[in-house]
Amino acid sequence: MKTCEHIPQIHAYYDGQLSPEAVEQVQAHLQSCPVCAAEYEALNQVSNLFSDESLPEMTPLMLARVHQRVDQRMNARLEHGVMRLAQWLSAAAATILVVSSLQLAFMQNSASADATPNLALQMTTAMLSQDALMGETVSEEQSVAAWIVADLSTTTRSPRAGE
Amino acid sequence: MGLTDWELVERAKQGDRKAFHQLVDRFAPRLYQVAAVMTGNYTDAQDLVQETLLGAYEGLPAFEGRSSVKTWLTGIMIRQASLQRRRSSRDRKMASLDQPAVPGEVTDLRRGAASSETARTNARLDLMSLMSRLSEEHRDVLVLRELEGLSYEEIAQMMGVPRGTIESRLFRARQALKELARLSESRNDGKSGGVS
Repeated sequence: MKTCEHIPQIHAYYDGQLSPEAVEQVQAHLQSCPVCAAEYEALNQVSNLFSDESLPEMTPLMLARVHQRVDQRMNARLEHGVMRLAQWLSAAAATILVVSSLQLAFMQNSASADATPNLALQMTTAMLSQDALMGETVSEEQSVAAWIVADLSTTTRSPRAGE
Repeated sequence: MGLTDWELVERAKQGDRKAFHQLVDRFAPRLYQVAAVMTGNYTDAQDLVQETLLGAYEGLPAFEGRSSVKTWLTGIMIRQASLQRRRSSRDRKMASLDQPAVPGEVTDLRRGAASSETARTNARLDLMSLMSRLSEEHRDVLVLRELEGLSYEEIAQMMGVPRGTIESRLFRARQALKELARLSESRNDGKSGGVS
């Protein structure tokens, strides 16, 4: 079987993949080489196998089925989106609930904390009064402690008083 | 005047379902022809078109328009075809455990369509039959070049191999198809449409 070293170039030429300069060279070669001319003709015949009449046509029913599948996928995606939104909203609602509960608990604790200095103040005052009644001298430290307790009691109450 | 392919893609990206259906109308018939030649089987071809378009729908947000819509869809089809082959190869392995190998689908189609005796049907089945006897690599490269008209560079990019590989693969694929057509013609003795 006869062959020619330029056959790969004939293929590239046939496929329109050569530079303009190379095209000119191949065209000149084709004029003088019967092997390459035959190869070029064979390439044409291969392409003819793929002519439109060799190709099956999609029926309207097939096309309708494709549309149907696409619609199903679009609906599924939409449902998935709605589900995700619902999940997100549920998560957000749960978070708000937890935060609110914690805040409520904190506020109740704050109320207890408010009560603590008051209780401490009352206890301190009572202790100091008892000492005084028993004729014992109230020391300077005891007075300072009483003052700190009174001051703390006022400080912890003041932010809420401002609300 | 109708919208361009890219305008339809842009609209579909923004959630316009009708725009995507228009793309389906525009591209599905051609994709089906390519799929039939690639698979050699009408049922697989229909599945392949569906999977390609569903893949395109899912991939819409990532499509930036660097290639034409047609080339983009063809690329998806090549990947889906590869997945489909892997699946059917796995299924065949499972089936072969308890039954003999099934004959080629194209042969069955030829038998089924023989009564119609239309030249068009025969030409179609000839092509599908010949293509089904080629390797997957040869089939893909021929489809991309002969049917889709892609350049060597585009095919190389799509198949993830160097351009030189595509050139030699296409060369061998054409030689193989030519040889199969010659054998088929000599067997049919006198039937027209073959390659000498």
